[in-house]
Amino acid sequence: MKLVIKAVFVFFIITVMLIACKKEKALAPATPQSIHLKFVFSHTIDGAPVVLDTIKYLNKAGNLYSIINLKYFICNIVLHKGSDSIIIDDAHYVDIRDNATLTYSPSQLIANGSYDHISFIFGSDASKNKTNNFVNPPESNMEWPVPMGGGYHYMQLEGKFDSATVVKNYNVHTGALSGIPYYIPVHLSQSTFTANGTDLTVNLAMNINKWFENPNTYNFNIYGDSMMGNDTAQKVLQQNGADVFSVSSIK
Amino acid sequence: MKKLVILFFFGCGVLFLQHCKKDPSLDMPILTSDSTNNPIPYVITIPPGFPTVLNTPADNPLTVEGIALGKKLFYDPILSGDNTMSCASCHAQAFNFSDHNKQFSKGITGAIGTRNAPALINLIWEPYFFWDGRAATIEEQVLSPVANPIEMHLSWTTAVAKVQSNAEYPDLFNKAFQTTTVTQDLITKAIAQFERTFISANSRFDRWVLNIDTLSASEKRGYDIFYTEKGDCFHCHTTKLFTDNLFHNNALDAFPNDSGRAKVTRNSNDVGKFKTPTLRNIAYSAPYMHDGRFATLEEVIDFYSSGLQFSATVDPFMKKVNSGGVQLDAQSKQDLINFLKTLGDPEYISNTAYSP
Repeated sequence: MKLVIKAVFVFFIITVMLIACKKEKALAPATPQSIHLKFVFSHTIDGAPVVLDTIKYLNKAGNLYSIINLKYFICNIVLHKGSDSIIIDDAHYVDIRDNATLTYSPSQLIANGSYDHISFIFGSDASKNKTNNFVNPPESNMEWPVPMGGGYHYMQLEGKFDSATVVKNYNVHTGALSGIPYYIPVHLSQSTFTANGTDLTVNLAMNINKWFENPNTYNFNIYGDSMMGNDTAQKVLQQNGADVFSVSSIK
Repeated sequence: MKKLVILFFFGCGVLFLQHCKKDPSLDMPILTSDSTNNPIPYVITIPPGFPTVLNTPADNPLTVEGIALGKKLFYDPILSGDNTMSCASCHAQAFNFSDHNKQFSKGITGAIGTRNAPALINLIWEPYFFWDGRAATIEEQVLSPVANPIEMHLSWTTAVAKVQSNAEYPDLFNKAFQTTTVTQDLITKAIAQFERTFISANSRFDRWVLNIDTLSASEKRGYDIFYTEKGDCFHCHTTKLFTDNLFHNNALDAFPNDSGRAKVTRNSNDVGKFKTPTLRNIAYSAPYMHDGRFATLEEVIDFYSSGLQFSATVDPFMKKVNSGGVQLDAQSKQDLINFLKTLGDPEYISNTAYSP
């Protein structure tokens, strides 16, 4: 009988150890986070899909312009849900010419429930905007030089514009200038959604013309070239950038 | 009863060991002595801040024996039509593996090409080869100069036969690839392995960044010009590689006579675009540009300062194209050149691992 009691005792100990070996399962949350979220990026001029390399767009300042390159970072997506907000602590790089970058599927899963709205940082906050944070291209090619503050460009938007019949290049390059951050906290309107057991796709659209019109008029003839080191240009774009993104759909 | 209890303990023990077994994916690799003459893997040491993703095809891992074979082939004129020319004829180590002071290289018949022989350096991080990027791997790139009538002018069929009939090579192929049968594929793989070991990361600039060397006042001013919009060099010549490995029209001509990248993509928006060359060891690899039109760094800086030409596909990075360039004064030009010279790595051009 004593032996049987010992056996039961040993069985109990081993069971506890087995459970310890399955730590991940033991710590699984009560509310399962099982829904995949995917973000899809599109780019428009006042609602029309962008056609690259053609001087055909008009901004508020009257510049007739083309878009040749558009590359940017977003990071720190937050799905706001009262005290249970979900923070996706990651950065994503978008290149309008690289389809692979136009979708972003965070590894983090979310739980069922209602979410108030979505926000993110356009560019990179201080925790991610450090030289050598990215060593592999294409992200590493967004390097912002150390003598100008280091880190990475938030955005490289480039093209040509017709300036009094002379075609010129313009560069809209944003970043943290000499240590002053100009990243943009973006709070998306109409981004309330309910997760109900199925994976969700958030379609985000950037209206490029919005960079140049609200609240400040951005004129390529004033800021067209060598604007990286121009504090005023960086501030203007930071203010204008709050509403360049909108949610087309969440489904 | 006692036996039953012992059996029970034994069962629990087995179950416990089985259950707590380490994840096989976390197991350390098992190193065994090699009795089958398998080649020895060669591990690339990545310098600080360099990309961690290497452009090495899965079917051509680096090995000590493969690299040794590639080195022998790189320096052997056996791959030319008249046994006078090797890869090294146009890619000399002393000149950053470029063709010293030659605008265009001369082939075995005396014919010349239309593009400058590019320097060979830090190739393991390059996603494209040739000025127009028409080859995606070194293996693919190697195919061209051997067979090209204005370069080494040897058919690959003959090249393979010559190497096969050589007294030394079959054994070296056996050591590298476990076969004495020479093929075009294995020749290109061996040369590619050798070239992937060409790594340069020990310039004065690198050591200055690591706080183990100094720069002069002029070199520091040049550094600031390079890395601000005053010189605006950094957009294309970026990262530790000093290249973005992308294609740009850098405003050389109002009417480009070499369509460059457009020859590959058939896209008119790519006319006049060429791959950004690295600036590492730039002082060793004159002349400059895809057509070697500039003999000196001074000529290059003069061009970027005041010689830019607008064309339909000129790159947006050439912000000052409408005013001819970044308009540097004489002192700034000299400072910039002095900085560029700090990117030289004498160890690279004398490293015996790359020498014949």
